[in-house]
Amino acid sequence: MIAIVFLVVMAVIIGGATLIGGGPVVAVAVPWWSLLAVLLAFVGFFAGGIYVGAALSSLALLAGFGLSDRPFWNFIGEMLWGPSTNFVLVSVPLFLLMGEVMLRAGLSERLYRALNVWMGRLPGGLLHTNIISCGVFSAVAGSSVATAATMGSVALPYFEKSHYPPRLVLGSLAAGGALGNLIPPGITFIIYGLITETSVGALYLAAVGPSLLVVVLFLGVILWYSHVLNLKADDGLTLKWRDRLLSLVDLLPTTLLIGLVLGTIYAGWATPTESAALGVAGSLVLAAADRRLNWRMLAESMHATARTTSMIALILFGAYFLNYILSSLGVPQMLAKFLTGLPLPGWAIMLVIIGFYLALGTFMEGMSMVITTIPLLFPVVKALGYDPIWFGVVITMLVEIAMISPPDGTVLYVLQGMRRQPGPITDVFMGVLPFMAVYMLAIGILMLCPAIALWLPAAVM
Amino acid sequence: MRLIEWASRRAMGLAGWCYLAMTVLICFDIAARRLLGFSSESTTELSGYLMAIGMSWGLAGTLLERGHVRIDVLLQKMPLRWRVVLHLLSLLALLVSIGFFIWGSFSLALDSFTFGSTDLSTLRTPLVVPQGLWAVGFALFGLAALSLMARGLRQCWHGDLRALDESLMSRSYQEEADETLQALGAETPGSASSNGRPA
Repeated sequence: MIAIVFLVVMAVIIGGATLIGGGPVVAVAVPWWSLLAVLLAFVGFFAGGIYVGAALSSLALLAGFGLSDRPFWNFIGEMLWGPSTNFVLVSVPLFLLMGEVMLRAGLSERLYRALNVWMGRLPGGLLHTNIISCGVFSAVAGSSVATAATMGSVALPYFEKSHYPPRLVLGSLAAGGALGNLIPPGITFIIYGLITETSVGALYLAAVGPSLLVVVLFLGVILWYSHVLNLKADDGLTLKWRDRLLSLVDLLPTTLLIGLVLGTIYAGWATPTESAALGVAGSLVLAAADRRLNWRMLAESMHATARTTSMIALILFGAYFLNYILSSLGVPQMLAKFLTGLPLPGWAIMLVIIGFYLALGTFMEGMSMVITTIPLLFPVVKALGYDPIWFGVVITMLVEIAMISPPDGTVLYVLQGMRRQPGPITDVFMGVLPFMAVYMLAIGILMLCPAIALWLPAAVM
Repeated sequence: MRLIEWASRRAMGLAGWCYLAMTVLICFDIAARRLLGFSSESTTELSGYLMAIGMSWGLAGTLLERGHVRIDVLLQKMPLRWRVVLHLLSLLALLVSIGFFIWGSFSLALDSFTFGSTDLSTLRTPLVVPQGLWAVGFALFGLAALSLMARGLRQCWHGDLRALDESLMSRSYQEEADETLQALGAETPGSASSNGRPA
């Protein structure tokens, strides 16, 4: 509902701006009513719950047969084969496989315990552990839902008889899970890099600053609440230095793996795809060292990987198909010309785009959102003079916010389903709101100061 | 129907192996380049082929496991009768799209065969091999969608709308979360694990 209201308001703003400003006269290659029809079909298909991939390619067919006189069907094969064999895309199943193996390697519990030894001293102790361990785990595991389920099952028992307010506990777990795609290596960056032909390595470098920013802001929220609610540090823990150092051993495997994957990318020794392969090998070694590696576990991991990859593949196929038709009609260029010609400053249009993603994110799954919209909006962003790498980071953050935004964010429902003490879902909603607010604040900071994202790629590359 | 389901599951398994094979291939290439000072020089192409084949072969299995994304916010709130209509419509849209995918992929493979095209790597792989295998994945996807359609219509005929709804509704977050917990292998608290999962 909120989303629909928002979209209508935005349409009014843009429409109004067009009327007031006289509107730029765009050389229209296709009649606007036919584009409107395609747009309506688009909304209808999506609302009707048609498979996203099928909806995109059906639209492509509609637009292709209705508006284009070029024999596009002769190019379908090449159009799909090109991206299918792209070496950048190869890293997607590899990172997914690494995550699935790590999930089954049983590291989550030890990760949480070890981090708690270190974070427990801060006021609001375990809550910080939630953020950090969710962040670290989701960086490896890739899926936000999987992270929320995993960390929820590990962390919630710790809170059973604690003095922590349940809202903050659930909120911090949800917020931590929403770091997964932002902290490298995330899959959203790969897909974005593939579609926009941006360097995935540069995107990963650019994500470092914003990730740190968001984590610091999250910890700040918890510190503030701990101050207000007068939460103490956990003193039930034995805090001898020997224990602390021993706890590091439990952190070692995950740290090693992240170091292996990111280190090789950042040092320029390997492309992201190659380091993803190293990551899979590393995770298999870790699982073997833990005696968790067996055929069944491997088969399950591969099965889950195949399913997720094919899910992404169908949407990608549809999007490439649609984009091919639309580009041949000149639609993205038209849209870019139209939006940049509006009597609005660049940042206002960027705000509209950000609002559009936030609205879309309340009901659309993140990956399909990115794949569907980027081909259309990327030319606009470039025409506005924004850095493609910066935009990639912002998009990823928006997708993450979508995951935790009430009332439809899936992560929230996963956590609600895992609670031991029953309570209303509004606990989770209220708990996550401050974190969402800070997340959006981070995007604002990033808009004002793009250097947070861009200085590292500029310094290294 | 059974045969198609079996084939889809097998194909999905093979897709998984494709990804593992990519890992081995790429790791070997890195090791060879760093330590032994040579490169196979066709890893990029080969893993690209494996990628394409894995992607298309996994499609059918993903469909049968209800893994393809649909935006079901509205769908979930509709009465059963409407849901069934929309389920069948989505399948129809899917079938039409797959039809074009199959056509495109097979004609590409056929072209490569007619012209005897090979890639530019040292292996000079005839492109018809990976492209043909890739196209087979789409064909299987089409068969799986067709058989789902046939079953759906039959269920409609018998008035078994609930079963149709269950076999076509997309996977819920609850199922995904449960599967994660199962993968963790830990005894799991809360209601998440106690809800039975439909197979």
